[in-house]
Amino acid sequence: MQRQKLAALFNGFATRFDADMFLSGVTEEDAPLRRSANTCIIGIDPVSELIVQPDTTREEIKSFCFDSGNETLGYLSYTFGLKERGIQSDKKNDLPLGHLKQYAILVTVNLTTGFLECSAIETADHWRLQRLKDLCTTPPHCEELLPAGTAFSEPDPSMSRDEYIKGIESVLEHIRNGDTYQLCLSSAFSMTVPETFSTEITCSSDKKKQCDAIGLFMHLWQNYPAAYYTWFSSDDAKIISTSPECFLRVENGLITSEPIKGTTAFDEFSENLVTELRESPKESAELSMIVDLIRNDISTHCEYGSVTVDRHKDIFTVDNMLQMYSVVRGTLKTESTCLDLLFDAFPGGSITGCPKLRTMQIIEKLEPHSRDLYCGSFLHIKNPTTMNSSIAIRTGWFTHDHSGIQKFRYFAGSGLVIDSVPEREFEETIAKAEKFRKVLST
Amino acid sequence: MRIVLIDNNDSFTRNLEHLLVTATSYVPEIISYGENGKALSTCSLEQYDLIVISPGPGHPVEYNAYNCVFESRKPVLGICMGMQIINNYYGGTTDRLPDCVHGKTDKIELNGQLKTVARYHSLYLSSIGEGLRVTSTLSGTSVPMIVEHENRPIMGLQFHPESFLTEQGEWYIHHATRFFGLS
Repeated sequence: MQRQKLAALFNGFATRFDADMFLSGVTEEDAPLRRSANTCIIGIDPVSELIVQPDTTREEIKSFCFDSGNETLGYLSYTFGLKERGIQSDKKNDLPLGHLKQYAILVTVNLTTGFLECSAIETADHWRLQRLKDLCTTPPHCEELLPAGTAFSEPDPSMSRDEYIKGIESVLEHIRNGDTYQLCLSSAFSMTVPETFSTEITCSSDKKKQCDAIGLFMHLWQNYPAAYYTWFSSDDAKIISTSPECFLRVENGLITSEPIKGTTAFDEFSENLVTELRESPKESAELSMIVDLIRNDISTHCEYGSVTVDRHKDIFTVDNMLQMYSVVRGTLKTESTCLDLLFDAFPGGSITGCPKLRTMQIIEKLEPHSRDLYCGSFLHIKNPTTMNSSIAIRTGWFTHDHSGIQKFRYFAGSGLVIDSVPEREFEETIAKAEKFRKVLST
Repeated sequence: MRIVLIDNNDSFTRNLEHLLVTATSYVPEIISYGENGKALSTCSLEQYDLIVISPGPGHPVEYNAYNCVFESRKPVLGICMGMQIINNYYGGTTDRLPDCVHGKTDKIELNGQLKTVARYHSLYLSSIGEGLRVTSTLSGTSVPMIVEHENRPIMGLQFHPESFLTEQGEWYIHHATRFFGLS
């Protein structure tokens, strides 16, 4: 199916059914270097929800996800990870520590085959199901989903260029002291949402339902394909994730993690750039460290001798950037569930650095903002031995600030190692943040 | 064989656990050093045949709860920070390495052979503790990569045998257990 038609259909799911959507967005024709990731899953009409609070236990989360037999979609924030590791943080968060939902209706779409499947629990609303069927059989008219001429304010960063570079220098000093080997430093960006831009679903005079925030999400999905797109509502916050990174995928107990480290931004793709990235000692070291970290983090719940590394330093493209990654695999211990694995490996090593505990303590001191959901994970949990999760990078959300002004907040960062050149790391961070800025403020 | 692995709040401890199981087929018990090594003082080290000290962040002087480990007279294998803790106990010093290295491989010289190992260290043994001798250095330099005690079953490795970048990581565990007379 054409991407544009699918975008119109998904837009219909979100505007007419208030769906949460986990969209893969990558087919072979989009990116020849890309790994296969092609299943979209859409949740409609939540029947139960768990909002993770500071006192919510791991057991309560497991019970919510596994007891009913229904699949779960949702997220856990980086801040949840801070709490789990015993790191005190007094910074303000926009979003709850986690939000998990189970739905009356689930739609899955395979992008390669174009096959769409709908499953519903017995109590699902038949009238809604009929309307859903109508939407799927007579897909809506394709149109430009992003409203023209809605320019957001220029992004306001949590750290200025000078502050970010000063932060990098402080990290390099920590590295020289042996406190950390690699640390991922991030910056938050905030834009004011123009009044003409709708984040709630509105009904136009001709009874057409629409929402500019969903339009933005679909526009990004169409034009900047990546493997882990998510549209998710939590209370009145609307969350957009455009992540290319898999954190942990578990299929019948077989674990895969695909940490990304090493980035080259390009205007024009060439094989030379691929070779250059793969042979760069700095980028190779960045990735190798995280591979060792991920091996460690999954080993807690892996059978002895089952943890392996494949495709070390493979490369794919996303958003005019080359990204280097490796595949770490293992076999889940019979007495462990995929959530035990997730909790003990959380947050993902590729966005903390290494060793994780002390590195996260340093990050907490250096970053003026809370990462909140950024660098947490979106989750699709099927059962105790099957789940998928992303690293919530290239992620932002619409919320209101303390004075009621609507903001779009997003984040970007880079991994710092001893060979890092501060100015270049700042540029890498800006390159990663560019997608949102370019689409929204120009 | 009963093995205890002391975890200095590191992120490679589980890799080391898996390596120890592969090399010895015994599952180590893991004790967390925590914030101040409290768990160490309440643990009965008598029951173990081998004590392994994990890598970890920071400087060895931060880890001041290890005396009981050395006083136990049990075989001790220290990895990275573990080796620096051994050296510190015997009066050696640890300083910043001029070209610190993380997540890269290098060759070490051991018994006339060159071996490829993974390095993660900002600091190095700038002077060697009493009773310790250097049995391997980084190829072409004097940076100590393996130290052994002259008359006690104590060995330290500056590199990371548990890293996927190290060739034949189990070999170093066997090398240590042979030295300790445990295999």
